[in-house]
Amino acid sequence: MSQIFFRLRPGWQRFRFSMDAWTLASSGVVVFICLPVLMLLFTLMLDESPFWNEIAERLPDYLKNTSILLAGTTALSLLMGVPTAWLVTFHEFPGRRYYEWALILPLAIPTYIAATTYKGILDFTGPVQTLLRNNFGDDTARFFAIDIMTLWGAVLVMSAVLYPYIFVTTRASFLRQSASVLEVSRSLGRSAWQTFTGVGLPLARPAIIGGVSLVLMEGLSDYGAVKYYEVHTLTVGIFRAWSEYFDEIAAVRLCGCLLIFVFAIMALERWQRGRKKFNSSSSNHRPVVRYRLKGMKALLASVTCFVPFALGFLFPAVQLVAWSFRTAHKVVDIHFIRLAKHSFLLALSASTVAIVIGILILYTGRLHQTRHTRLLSKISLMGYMIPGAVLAIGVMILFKRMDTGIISIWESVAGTSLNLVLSGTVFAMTYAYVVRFLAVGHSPLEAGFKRLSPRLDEASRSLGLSKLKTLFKINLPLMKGAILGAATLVFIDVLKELPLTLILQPFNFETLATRTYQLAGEEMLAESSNSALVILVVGIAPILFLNKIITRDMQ
Amino acid sequence: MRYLILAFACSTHFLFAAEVNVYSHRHYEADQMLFDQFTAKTGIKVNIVKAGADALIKRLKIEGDKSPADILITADAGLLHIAKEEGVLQAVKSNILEQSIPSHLRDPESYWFGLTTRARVVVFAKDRVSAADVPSYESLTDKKWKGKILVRSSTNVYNQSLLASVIAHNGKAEAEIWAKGIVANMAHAPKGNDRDQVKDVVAGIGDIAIINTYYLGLLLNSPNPEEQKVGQAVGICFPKLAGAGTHINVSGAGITKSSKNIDNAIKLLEFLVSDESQRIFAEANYEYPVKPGVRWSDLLNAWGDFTPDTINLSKLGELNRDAVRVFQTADWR
Repeated sequence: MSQIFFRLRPGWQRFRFSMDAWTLASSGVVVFICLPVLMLLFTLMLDESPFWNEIAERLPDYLKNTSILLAGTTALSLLMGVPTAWLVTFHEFPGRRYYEWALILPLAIPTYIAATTYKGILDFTGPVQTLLRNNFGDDTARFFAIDIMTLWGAVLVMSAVLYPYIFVTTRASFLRQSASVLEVSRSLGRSAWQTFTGVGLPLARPAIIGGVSLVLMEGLSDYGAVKYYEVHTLTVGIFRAWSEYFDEIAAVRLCGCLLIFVFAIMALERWQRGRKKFNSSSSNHRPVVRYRLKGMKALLASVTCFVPFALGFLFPAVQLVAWSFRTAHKVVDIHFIRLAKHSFLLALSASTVAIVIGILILYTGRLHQTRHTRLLSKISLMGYMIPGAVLAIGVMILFKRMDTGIISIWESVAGTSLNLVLSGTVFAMTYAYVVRFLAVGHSPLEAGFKRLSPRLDEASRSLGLSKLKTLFKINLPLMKGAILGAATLVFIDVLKELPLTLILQPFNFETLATRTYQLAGEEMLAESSNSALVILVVGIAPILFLNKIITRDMQ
Repeated sequence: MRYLILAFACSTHFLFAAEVNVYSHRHYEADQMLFDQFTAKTGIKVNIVKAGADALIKRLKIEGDKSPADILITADAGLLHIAKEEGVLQAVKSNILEQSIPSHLRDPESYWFGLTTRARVVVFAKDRVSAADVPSYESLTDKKWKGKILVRSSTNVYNQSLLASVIAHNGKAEAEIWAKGIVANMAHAPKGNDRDQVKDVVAGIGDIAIINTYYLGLLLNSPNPEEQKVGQAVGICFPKLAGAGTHINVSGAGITKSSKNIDNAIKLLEFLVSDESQRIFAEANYEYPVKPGVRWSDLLNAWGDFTPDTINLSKLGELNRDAVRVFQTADWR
C-alpha cells in the first residue's frame, strides 16, 4: 500500500505543481468554452438519424461542390494575393502607396453581401445589362450577359473578398525577409522573376500557406453566398438536413464531414510550421529598397494591383452606394441607428472578452510549456471549426440546461416560479461569439508572445515581479500591436457574423448583419444596401489601423 | 456579473409588464407599424425576434415550457403544421378568429391561423405567351414548354408546399411524374429567387416562371425602374390544380404551447384579422387578406379574381416530407 502511494507521489506532485492558479483558470475557461460542442455530441451523436439515408444520397454532390469551391477559391486567391504582395513590397510604381492598404479593404465585405451585390450588378436589371440593352440593343446585351450564379461565380466572388488574408500574411512575411537576401540574388544576375520564384516565394511559403488556411476556413463555413447561388456545398447540406427534415442528428453528422476538411487544412498548416526553421528572422535586417518600375512594367504592376482591388472592393462598394442613394430615405431612421449600436456593442464586448481569454490561455502556455497547456490552447480553438448555426444550437442547449438548474434552485429556495434567466440574452450571444472567434484572435496573439524573448520574463521574475505583474508590466505593453490586431480581427468578424446572430438574438435586438440578410432574403437588395454599407464602413477603419500596425512593426 | 444582473432584470421584466412576445419569420415594415398600432390601442407591448422559421421552431423546442415566446409567425402553412407536429404550439378558442378566417386557411384543431394569402402562380412573357396557354399546373409538363420553364430550387418551402398540394390532389405517383416533367422542361438548373425567375423570362431565357404573386408586386414597386419594366413585361395567370383551383398559401401564426400571455396573444391575433389591419397587413406585401369582404388593393384587383384551391392548408404540412422526397427522386435541385 505504502509502496503504491510512494510510486504515485511524484506524479501527484508534478500534477500539483502544474496546477497553479493560471493553469486552473485556463482549464476552467477552456472547459466552459467546450461545453456547447460537448452538449451537441452528447445529445445528438448518440441518437438515431431518422432521415440519414435520404440525406446521404446527396452527400457525394455536397463533397464535390465543396472541393471544387475550395480548390478554385484557393487558386484564384493566390493569384490575386501573392503577386500583389510582391509588387507593393519590393517595387515602386504609380499608386503603390495606396494599394498597400486598398488591397486589404475587401476584408470589410462579408461573402454574402459580395454575392448579392455581384448578382445585382450583373443581372438583367443591373447597371451593366441595362446600359448595354438601352444603348446597343437586346442582342448585344444578351451576348455579354454573365451568369454569376454558378459554382465558378461563387469561386470568383469568394476569392475577390478573401484574397486579402493571403495578401496580408504574405506581405508581412516579405517585409520580414532580409532585403539583403534578395539583393544578393539580383546582384548574382538573377532576373526579377527568378528572384521572385527562386528566393522570395520559398521564404514566404509558410506565411502564404497560413493565409490560404484562413481563406479555406472562411470559404468552408460560408453559408449565405453559396445558398444564394444554389451551389450545394456541405454547409448548404447541413442547413437542408435541418430545415427540410428537421433532422439535427444528420446535420451534426454532416458537420463531421466538414471537420474532415478542417483537419486537412490544419494538417496543411502544421506541415508548413514544420518547415518554419527555413524562415530566417535575423534581427539586423535593413528596410527594403524598392525597385522603381518604369513604362509598361509600371503600368502592368498598377493593373495587376487594380484588378483584385476593383473586384473585391470598388465594384461592390460603388453598387452599394448607388443602391443606398435610391433607398436610404426609406430605410435609414432611428431604428437603423439602433441596429448599428447593437452591432457595435456586441462586436466590442465579444472582442474584448475573446482577447482577455486568449491572453490568459497563451500566457499560461508560456509559463508552463507542458502537454496539458498545449492541449488547452488547441481545444480552445474548437468553436471556429463548427458552422455558426450548429454552434448556436449547442449554445442554446447549454444555456437551457444551466437555466433549468438555476430555475430549480430558485424555485426550491424562493418558492416562486422563474423564467429563463440566461437563454435568449445578450450574454448568451456574446458567449457564442467568443467561442466561435477565439481562434481568430489566437494566431496574432500567439505571434505577439513568440516575438518576446523568454529572457525578458526570466529577468522580470528574478527581479521579484509576480507572474501577473510580469504579464501586465512587461509582456502586454510590448505586444500592444499584436493585441490590437487580434481585437480588430475579432471585431470585424463579429460585425459580419450572421447565422449565430440570427438564431440567438434576444427580443427586439436586430443587428446590421441580420437586417441586411433579411432584406436580401425578401429580395430587396437595394434596401439591404444601407446596413451592408455600414458594416463595410465600420469594418474599414479597423482594417486600415491593422495595416498601420503591420507596416510599423516590420519597419 | 453585470450581465447576470441585466439578465435577471430582463426576465423579471417579462413577468410583470403587459406584453406579448413574438417569434416572427415575416420582416415587413408594415408589420411593425401594425404592432405599434396594437400597442397604442391596448397598451400591450409587442417584443419581436425575427429569424428563419426553422430556427425559430428549433429555438422553441429547446427552450421548452420556459420559452418566453407567445406567438410564432411563419410565411408558410406547411411550416406552421410542422411546428404543431413538433409540439411547440397549442390550440386556442377564439370566435373572432374562427368567424374571420375561412376554415381551409386555418388548422382544423385551431393550432394556427392564416393571416394573409398568396397564390403560387405562373407569369409569362406577354409577347410570346397568353394566359390561356397555361390552364393548369398539370399542363406545365407538356412538351411544348421544353426549355421554357423557370422555377427556383426545391430547397424553397413554397415549392415544397406546391408539390405537397399536387400530391394531395393527384397522389404521390402522379406528383412524381409531374415533378420529373417540370425538371425536363426547365430552362436551366434552378437558382436565384422568385424575382430572378421573372427577370429570366423577360431576358428571354425562358417563357414562363412559377412565382408567388407578391413578388410581382414587389417588382412593379421596385426602386429600380428597370425592375418595374420587368414587372410590366409579364402577364399573370392563375392555373388550376386538378380542376379545383389555384394553389394558395398563407403567412400565419400560432400561439406557443409555453405562452405566458395567452390572452394578450389572442388579442393580437384578433387585432390582425380586423378589417383595417387585414387591409394593411396584406397590402404591405401585395398579398390577399384572408378575411372575406376586406377590400383588395388596386394591384390585386387589376390581376383579376381567381378560384383558389380550398384544400385545408394543414395538408401542405402533412405532405411536406413526401414532397421533399419526391423532389429528390425527380432530381429537382
